[in-house]
Amino acid sequence: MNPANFAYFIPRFTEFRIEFILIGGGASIAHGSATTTYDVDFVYSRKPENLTRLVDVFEGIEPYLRGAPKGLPFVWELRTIQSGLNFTLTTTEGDIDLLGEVAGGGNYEQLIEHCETMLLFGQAISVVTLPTLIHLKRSAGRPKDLIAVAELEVLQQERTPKP
Amino acid sequence: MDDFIKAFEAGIDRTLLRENLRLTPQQRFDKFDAFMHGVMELKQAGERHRTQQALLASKLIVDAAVPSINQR
Repeated sequence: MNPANFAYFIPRFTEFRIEFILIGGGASIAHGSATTTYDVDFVYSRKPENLTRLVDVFEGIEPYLRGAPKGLPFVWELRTIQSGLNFTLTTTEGDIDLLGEVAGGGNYEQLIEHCETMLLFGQAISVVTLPTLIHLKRSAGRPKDLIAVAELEVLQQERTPKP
Repeated sequence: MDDFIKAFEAGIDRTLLRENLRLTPQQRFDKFDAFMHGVMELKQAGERHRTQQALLASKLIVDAAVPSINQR
C-alpha cells in the first residue's frame, strides 16, 4: 500500500482538462485536518468529453480494479467508464477512487455548487467546502467516516472566529 | 450517530488543527507527504526486521539440526 499520490494525480488531471472535485481524505487535509489517507478521491463529471479524457489520463499507469483478483479481463476504456459509475482503482502511481456520484452530494454538477477553489500542486482545483465535506462524511455513515466527522466539526469550530 | 461523534470529539487534538490552520492548503499537503513518507519508512524497516528475524530463526534451526545429522 502506497501513500495517496496527490502530487501526481492533481496536476495530471488538470493537464488533461478533466472536470473533477477533490473530496474525501484529500479534501480533509486541504481544509486542515490532521488525518491520513491512502487514496485519492475525485468526483468526476459524466459529460461525454470528460469520459474520453478520463480514458487518456490513465495511459501508462496500469489502472486495475482495487482488490480484484489478478488476471481479470479489465480494460480501462470508454465503454468501461460508460457502463460503470464509481471506480476504485489501483495504479502504478497509487490508489484512486473515481466517483460519478457520492452519497449525500449527488453528481459533479450538483456538488460543484458546494466547492471552493484551492491552489494545490500548482493548480487551481475544486475542493468541497468544509460544511459539505462534513455532510458527505455523515451521509457515508461508516464508523471511520463518523470519526472523521468528529475531527472536521472541531476543525469547523476552530475556523469560526470567536466573538 | 451524534453521540458517537461527540464521544470522539473529546479526544481530538485541537493544537494539531490550530497548527494546520496557520498553513496554506499546499503546506498542509507537504506536511502530510512528509508524515506519510516517515510512515512508509517505518513500515519498510519493520518488514526488513521481520525478514531478518525469519532468516535468523531458519539459520538457528539448521545449525541445531546439522550436528545431530553429523552424529549419525
